[in-house]
Order: sequence, then structure tokens, then C-alpha cells
Amino acid sequence: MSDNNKTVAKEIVRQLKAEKMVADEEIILESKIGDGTIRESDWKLVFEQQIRNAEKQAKSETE
Amino acid sequence: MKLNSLHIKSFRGATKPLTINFSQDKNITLLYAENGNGKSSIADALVCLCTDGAGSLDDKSNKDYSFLKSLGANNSDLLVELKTDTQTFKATLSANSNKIIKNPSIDLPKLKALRRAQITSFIEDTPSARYKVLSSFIDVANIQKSEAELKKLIASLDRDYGQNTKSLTDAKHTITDIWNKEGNPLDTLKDWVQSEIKKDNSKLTKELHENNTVLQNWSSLQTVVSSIKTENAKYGIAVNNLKEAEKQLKEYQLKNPNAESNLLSVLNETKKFLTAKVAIDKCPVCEKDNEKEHLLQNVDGRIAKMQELNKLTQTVNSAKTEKDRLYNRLQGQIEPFNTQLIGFKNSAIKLSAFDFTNILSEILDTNTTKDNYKAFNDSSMQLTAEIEKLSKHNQSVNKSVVLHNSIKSNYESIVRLTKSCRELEKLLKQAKSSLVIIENTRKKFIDNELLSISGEVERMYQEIHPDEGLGNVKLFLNHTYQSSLNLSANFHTESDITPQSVYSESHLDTLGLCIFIALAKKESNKDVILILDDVVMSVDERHLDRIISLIHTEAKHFAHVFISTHYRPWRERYRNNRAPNTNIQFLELRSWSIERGITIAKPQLVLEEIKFYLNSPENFHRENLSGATGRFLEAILDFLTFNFQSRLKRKPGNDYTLSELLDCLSKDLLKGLKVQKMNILPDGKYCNNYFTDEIYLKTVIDEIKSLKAIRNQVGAHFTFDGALVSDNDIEDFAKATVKLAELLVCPVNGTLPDRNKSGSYWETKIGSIRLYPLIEP
Repeated sequence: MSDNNKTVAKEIVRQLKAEKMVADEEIILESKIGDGTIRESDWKLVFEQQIRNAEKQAKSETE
Repeated sequence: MKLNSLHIKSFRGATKPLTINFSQDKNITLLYAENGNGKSSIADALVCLCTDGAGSLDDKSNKDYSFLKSLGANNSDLLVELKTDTQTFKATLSANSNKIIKNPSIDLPKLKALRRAQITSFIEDTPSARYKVLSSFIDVANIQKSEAELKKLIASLDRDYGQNTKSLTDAKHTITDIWNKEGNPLDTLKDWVQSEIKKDNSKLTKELHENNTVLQNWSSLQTVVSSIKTENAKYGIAVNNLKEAEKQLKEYQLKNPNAESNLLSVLNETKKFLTAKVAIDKCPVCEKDNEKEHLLQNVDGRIAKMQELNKLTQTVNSAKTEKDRLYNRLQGQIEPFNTQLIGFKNSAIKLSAFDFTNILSEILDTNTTKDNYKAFNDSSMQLTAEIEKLSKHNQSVNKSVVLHNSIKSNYESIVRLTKSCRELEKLLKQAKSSLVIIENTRKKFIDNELLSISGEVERMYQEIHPDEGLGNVKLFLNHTYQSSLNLSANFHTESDITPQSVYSESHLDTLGLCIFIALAKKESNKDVILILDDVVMSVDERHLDRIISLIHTEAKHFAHVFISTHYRPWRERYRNNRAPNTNIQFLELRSWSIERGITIAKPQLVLEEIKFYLNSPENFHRENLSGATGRFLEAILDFLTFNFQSRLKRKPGNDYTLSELLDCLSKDLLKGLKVQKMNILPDGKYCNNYFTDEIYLKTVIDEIKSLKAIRNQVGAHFTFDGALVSDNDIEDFAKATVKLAELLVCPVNGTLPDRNKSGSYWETKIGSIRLYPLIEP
């Protein structure tokens, strides 16, 4: 059932955000995971964005 | 959603049109029929209309939709029409029998159908086949797709990381090798590399460039010089050839003074002139009469005499022509030489470290080519030596430049790859951790879903098999294999065994039934039509009662429950008020024939049959009334004696007579045997504390006892005594039985007080009637 995918996608994104694996402002990730349209390159962009965010934050905290 | 009617035409056994009108206040339909009378045809019609399946045809190896139409019918005759309270749905067979056409084709009623063959296959099939059945409940294919993409990313990052790490190692080795070869200058490799890359290499690079320009110009000049030399040699040979030819001509002329070469020329020209003329009658020189042939003959004769002179003259001419040609070519080579030479000079004199300025001082733009060529040839030896010096020096410069570039490029690679590896490492860590989260979430979801299904299955199974040491049914996914669903359960002292290996066939059947109902219930939002097509083969009466009770309990979760059975005890439970018969629509199929098709009859409940004979004198039938009353009494007494565990002589098959059942109710029991009719509340539920009536059963049972002989005398046998029994006595016997039934039977469900929830009395399912005592005193 499609609801299964939506439910699991929601929980996955919640956990990924909680574990700082993806950015909090990530909004389309859940639907892409849920409908199975996320691609390898999308995953990469998502992680790169979060790494950049973490670096920025670390930099601003140091300053 | 409520079902209004089902109309079937030319569908399997429905050779004649058949319509079932569903009761609007009952969501269970029980269809009883002996085998071969059309039960599955009706169930299959619903399956074909509402799902992609073809019902029992799906169990056959060769699924051919043409078998769906009735014998002798055309494809266009087939029709299945289901009317609900909201819509009408129709199914027809395509002209080529390869599919069922549905109208509308979307938003069809949700339907889950279970046939016995499916129970067997679900329980006994492979874990992967079992997974398929449950996949719609636990399927998270999109999540798995997303996971697969993430795995691809991880593989790709791993590959890139591996390659970058190797390149980084290579670059480090290369730079270390260079350092080692250079004799490990400075204290550390790092210091050396830092000092090397800080060095300004532009001067050296510029020098290398200038040196290379000079060397390239020299090389180009050498090519031109070499070409000039070749052409010059050829020209020299041509000059010599001409001299030799002229010499030989002179020698011939000395030996043959009359051989005048000028005359030969004139003769040759004359011959040309005469040949060109068509006809001549006079000599063109002396104008004497003469003919062309004669004149030509004369000229040819004189030329022949001068043949040797002719040949030598031609050789001289050829040699001269060749010499002139080669001279022109040589001149063509010499001109570019000057340009190349000046270019070489201009580049070479920039190299102050070499002696080119001095050596090339005689070579000037203003000089003629010849002068410059001469000057070049004069200084050729010195130039060659200086070029060799330059070439040698340039090798050293080149080596320095290459070395510097190598250190720089390797250093840059190390910086770039170190950064890249660090980034890849971070990405990989992020991706791998995310994959763990995704996999765990997916597995947890499936496990939880299975756990919730397992919980439901367990609850239902315990309802059917209480205190039997069975159960703890668990459905779980074997994560080692993809799409593999396992089943475990307890068996008395053993836990987590595979039930297929130790459970009896009927226990496995009920397990399959519970799993199926649990799954269907999970999908249903009171909108699923549940079909149980002949799922119970042979179970004892206690288990049958529990299965019936379970179905009635779970029916509220479905839009409609459609049960078909050929198991007669099931029919009899309803007919004799041993099952909640007022909650179901009870249908019975009569014998099927091709002429008649499927015939539906409404089976009469025995109590209603008795009342029918009592209430309509015109239909009074002594024997039928006595027989029906006797059988019904036996059903009621079977219930009472079982509840109170009355003492009966043991018999094979439990086929006790009416007398035996009546007489085993002990005096002590009869003394306290009573019913309480509970007060009904405004919401339709029954009050827990107050009753409207309390009646002791002894009086009515005693009355029945006094008339019990009628059952045999009139209802079972042809005897003289039977004929003596009055109609009034028969009516009294029936009335007393009806009275007893009405005291015991729930007015809402039609069931008997067979539940012990309180620990003090028996009660009907909805609490309408209480029966005391709980156990025989």
C-alpha cells in the first residue's frame, strides 16, 4: 500500500534530521523517498548540503 | 458501503439469471449448499467483479476466462452486476474471452476472498510465496528503491574514495622518490617541498623556451641547408653533364669539319616544312621543278648522313635544359635560407651566455643571400660546436624545469586529493549512517506491522482454540533473505516451532483463517467485502461455534461478510438457534441443473417453522410439528446439558435421545434453573444490574417432560398410540418448547446464553438473558 511508503518515509526523514544526517530545512526529501523517485545524485546533494551547513555552523561558533 | 443486490447471468453455474437481494440490516450472508449447487459461482462472480482475480479459476493451472461463462452461453451473455447503496458495478466478458471488462473500471468495491486452497497454500507454501500474500500490507517498495539509490551512491563514493586514496599515495610516493633522488635536501620532505614550490621557475622556463626556440630554428635551418646541399650537388652534376656533352660535340666537329650543326638545323626545319605541305611541285629554295616525295627523300638522306652530329647536339641541348632547371630550383632553395638564417641569428644572439653574436656577426640582413650563405658556411663549424654546447646546457635546464613542475604538480595533487578524500570520507560516513537509519526504520516498520498482524491472529486463534496449548503465533520476516516470511507458534511445551510440522490439518485451517481475517481486517475501513468460500471442512461443534462467534465478532469491521459452506452442521447451528441467526441473511441453494441453474431458497429456522404450524391452523401438520419440536428440543437440551455438564451415559457419537437429555437434568439443577431477562437501556444495550423478569424453567421443562412421548409417537414413528394423540397435546408440546426457547434465546441475536463472563451465570453475547446457575449444584 502506498501509505506504507509514506509512513516509513516520514519516519526516516524525522530520524535523519534528528541525527543531523540531512538539513532541517529539507522539505522534498520525504516525498521523494516515499514515492521512490530519489536518485543517487539527489542523495549526494542532500548530504553535501548538510555537510556545508555543519561547516558553516562550526565556523560561526568558532568566530 | 452496503450491498443491495447481486445479479448474475450466464456466469458459471448461473445458466439462468440469478438475483440475490441483500438484507440492509444484516452484513453477514450465509450461503449453504451441498457441493455442485453453485456456491463458488456466486463467490467467484463477486471476485471477478471486484478484483483482478477469477476466483476458484485462479487455483487451476490453466486459467481460461472462457470457462467463466455458462455452458452454451455466448461471451456477450455474461453479466455480473452488483448494486450498492452508492453505485452499480458491472462486469462482462470480452469478445475474445481474454479479459473481464468492468464498468466502472476504477474505485471498485474492495474485496478479499479466501478459499480453502489458499489457506493450505499460505500455511504450507515457501516463505517467499507467503511474503507475496502479505506484501500489500508490508510492502515498502518505494523505500527499498530509495535505499537502492543510496547504496549506489555509497558504492560510487567508495570507488571514488579508493581511487583518490590511491592517487594520493602515488603522488606522495612520487614526491618522496624525487626528494630521495635529490639526496634528501633540507631536513624534511615537507620543508623541501615547501621551499621548492616557492621557487620562481619563470626565469628558467623562459630560458628553456628561448633555448628551445634557438634549437628549433637551428634544426629548421639545417633542413634548408641540407636541401640546398642536395640541390647544389644535383646542379653540379648537371653542369658537368653539359660540359661533357659540349666537349663530345666539339670533338666530333673537329673530326668532321663539314658537319655543320647550323645546316643540320636548317635540314631539320626543312623536313618539318615539307612534311607539313600537301603537295609541292617546285623546290622552295631554288624553285626548280621537283616533287614533295623527291625533295623529302633528298632531305632525309642528308640528315641521315649527319645523324651522329644530330645526337650530340640534342644531348648538349638536353644537358643545358637540365642545368637551367636545376639552377632555378637551387635559386628557389637559397632564398628561404636567408630568412631562416636571419631568424636563427635573431633568436641565437639573445642567448648572451653563448658566442652566437660573435660567430654570426658577418651575417647581416643587408647582405646578399650568397654572401650570407658564404658567411654561414664559413662559420658552420663554430656554429655546430656552439649549438652542441647549447643543447647540452638546455638538457640541464629542461631537467630542472621538469623536476620543478613535477614537484609542483604532485604537491598540488596531494593538496587537492587530500581535500577530496576528506570530503568523500565525510560524505561516505553520512551516507552509510543514513543507510543504517533507513534500513532499520524499514525493518522496524515491517516487523511492527507483522507484530500487529501476529497479535490479531493470536487473539483470534485463542478465541477458537482457548486453553489448548497452542498459539503464540508469530509472523516474522527473515532479514537474511529478501521477501521471506516465516511463521512460528507454540505447541504445548514447545515454543517457536513451525506449526506446519506439528499442528493438525484442522488447526492449520483455523490458523490460516485467522491470518486471513486479520489481514483483511487490517485493510478494511469497514469497506471491504470479505468472502469466506467453503473455508471450513470438518470441525467439531465446539470449534464450529467459536469460528461462527469469531466471524460475527469481526463482521463489524467489514462492509459485508459473505460465507459459503457445504458443511451442514453450520447450517443446523443457525437453524436451531445455536448460532446468532438473527444477525445473518441465511440462504440455501437447492440442487443445480443446467435447465434450472442456481436456485436460491430461504431456509426456515426451526423455531419459526414450529411457530408457523402453531399460528396458521390451515397449515397444521401433526407429524411435522412433532418432529420439528422434538429436534429443536434436542438442540436446546444439548446446549443445557453441555453447559451444566449433566451426567449422561456415554455413547458413541453423542446421539442421545430426547428422553435421555430431559432426564439427565438433575433435581438440584432444575430447582435453581432460571433465566433473568435484563432491562434494555435507551441506547439499545442491556443493563448490567436490573432485569425485567426472572423465570424458573422447572415448570416448563416438567410440562415438556409430560409430553415428550409425542416426539416419537407422532414425530418419528407410525404407531397406533401415535394416532391416539390429540392435536391439542401436540400443540401443547410445541407451545411448551417455544416457551422454553423464548426464555433462553436472545431476542436480538437469536443465540443461547452460552458465555461465562461473570463467573456466576451464563449469558447471551449481548447480555440480554442470564441463565443460572453457572454449574450444577
